[in-house]
Amino acid sequence: MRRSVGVGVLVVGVLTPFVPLLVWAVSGRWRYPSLLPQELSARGARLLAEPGSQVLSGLVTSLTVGAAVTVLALAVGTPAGRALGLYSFRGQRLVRFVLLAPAIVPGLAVLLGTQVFFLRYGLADSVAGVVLVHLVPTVPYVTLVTAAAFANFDVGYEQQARLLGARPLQVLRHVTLPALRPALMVAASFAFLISWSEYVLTVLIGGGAVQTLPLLLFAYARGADLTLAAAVALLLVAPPLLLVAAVSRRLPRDHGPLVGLGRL
Amino acid sequence: MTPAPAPEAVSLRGLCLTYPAAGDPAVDGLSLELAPGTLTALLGPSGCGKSTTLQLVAGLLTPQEGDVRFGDRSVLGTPPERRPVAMVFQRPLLFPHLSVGDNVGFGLRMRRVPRHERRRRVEDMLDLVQLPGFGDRRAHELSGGQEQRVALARAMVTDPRVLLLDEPFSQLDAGLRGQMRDLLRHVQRQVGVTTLFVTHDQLEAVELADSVALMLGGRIEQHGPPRAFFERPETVAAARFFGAANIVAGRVSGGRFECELGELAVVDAQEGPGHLVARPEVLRLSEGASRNTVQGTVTRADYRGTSIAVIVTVGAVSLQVTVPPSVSVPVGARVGVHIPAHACTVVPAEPDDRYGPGRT
Repeated sequence: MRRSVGVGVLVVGVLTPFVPLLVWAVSGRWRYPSLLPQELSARGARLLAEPGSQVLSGLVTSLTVGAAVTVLALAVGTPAGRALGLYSFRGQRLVRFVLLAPAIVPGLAVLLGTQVFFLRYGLADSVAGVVLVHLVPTVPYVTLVTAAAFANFDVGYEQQARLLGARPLQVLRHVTLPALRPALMVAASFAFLISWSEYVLTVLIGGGAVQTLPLLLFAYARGADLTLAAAVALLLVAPPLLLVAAVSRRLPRDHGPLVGLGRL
Repeated sequence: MTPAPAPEAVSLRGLCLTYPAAGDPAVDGLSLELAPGTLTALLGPSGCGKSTTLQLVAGLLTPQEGDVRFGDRSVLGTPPERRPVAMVFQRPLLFPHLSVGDNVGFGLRMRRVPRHERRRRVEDMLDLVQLPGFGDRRAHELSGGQEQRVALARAMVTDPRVLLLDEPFSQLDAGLRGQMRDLLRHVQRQVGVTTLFVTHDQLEAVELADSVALMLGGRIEQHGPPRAFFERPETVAAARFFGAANIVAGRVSGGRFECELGELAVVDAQEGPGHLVARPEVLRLSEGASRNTVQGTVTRADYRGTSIAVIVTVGAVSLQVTVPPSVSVPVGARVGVHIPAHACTVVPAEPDDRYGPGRT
């Protein structure tokens, strides 16, 4: 009972700031000093639904980039997490620091050094380039989360599976991945969320040619039309909330300590 | 039950393995032959390299020197999953996301055995390890002994030719351990799989195994039937590991053993320097002087419930004698100790004489 009250307070606390956004998004005419808009308007909703609209294509771009970044960050970060979590080796602290450096150093600083390479290899102004640069802030998180999971993983399970006739890929599929499922779900959520809300890296590498939702939001927010800005903002906020809710429901009950993304 | 494939002879030849960070080799020129269908205990103190040896047979490790042969084929180039082996570890390692039945059927699933056949063989196996109807339970609902039985069933279900067990019962309490030994013996006899069982428990090795391979310092010290370790130890170290407390250095000359105790009659002894090995329970306290009896003073008598351990000092040598608890042996008494020639062994001194000329 007390628990559900706590959760309720939390949900209200998190969601309240979105109420004005919601109101803005549907407002037509709204003058000082009235508390609520005088007229409602569907302009915001239309903007999102209109076929061929900038916002829809931004949504698709954001989802594409986010999905690609998630897959690649898992593919790159999980083996690194395995190495850090399972084995102790010389220079481990240094490797750990280097892997985490992008999460510590501001992305902008990293980027100014690497942008020249993106230009040289024709990756600037392309979705591929944006995906690649989003790996900089995401891989460290994937590595951290999976390293923690691997530190609690008994490789005896893998040896046992091999001695029962499982080939390495079968071991991965039937033993290792199921054991790491909660951590991988959390790591994937992190990767997607970071990519989803990334702005600076996208602007610099995408060069305006890759229009993700955060970029569109920025453009609309600078314009005069707050209704449109609020509508895009809601669109930007909703998927992460849904994602976190979905993931946290599917996590096993006792995985709360896993970087705080426990079941709600 | 499906007919099991013929058990395989296993031959380990001159295996050497040194771990990268370690100075001393973990396995140092180890050779061992396992007859098909037998249960061999690989016995040794912790750190002697017995688990490493098991992993070499399994293919989890690759030796730097030597060969592992199943039958007449070398399996060195074969990865673990393609060797006809199954292994049970010290920890049960049941996959937590699978039911008991799916755990047992894991190896069959990896080999793409059809579901209905899998189901039947899993049920047969669970019956064999005396857990009928446990297929739908979750691994975490089982007790420690049940977990290890499921692990055994899971290993046996694929009809391995070679079964490897790495101290599988050492985390169970004593009573359960005995039951599990009986069960393993039963299963192993039923299936007739060539089995290598690692243990540090001398009693477990003797009770369970057809033959015992004693491993010390990375190599096999002695390999033979359990009885041989008590009656005919081949080295001083083997004798000592099996509790032969009385080991006296000397020399065999003309069929008699000359040492600090005097001249003793011995049987089947090789001429030259050696050690007389006598277990405390074969020595007898005796009154008068007779053949092979030495005179000494009782310096200690420790009551052990079913026996008394008596220490008799003869000159500079201490002999340990086990007597029934009803016998009264006051400390300080002069007694004779009879050393029966047929129950003692003389171990010839080794060329490098690892044990030195000293006495024990």
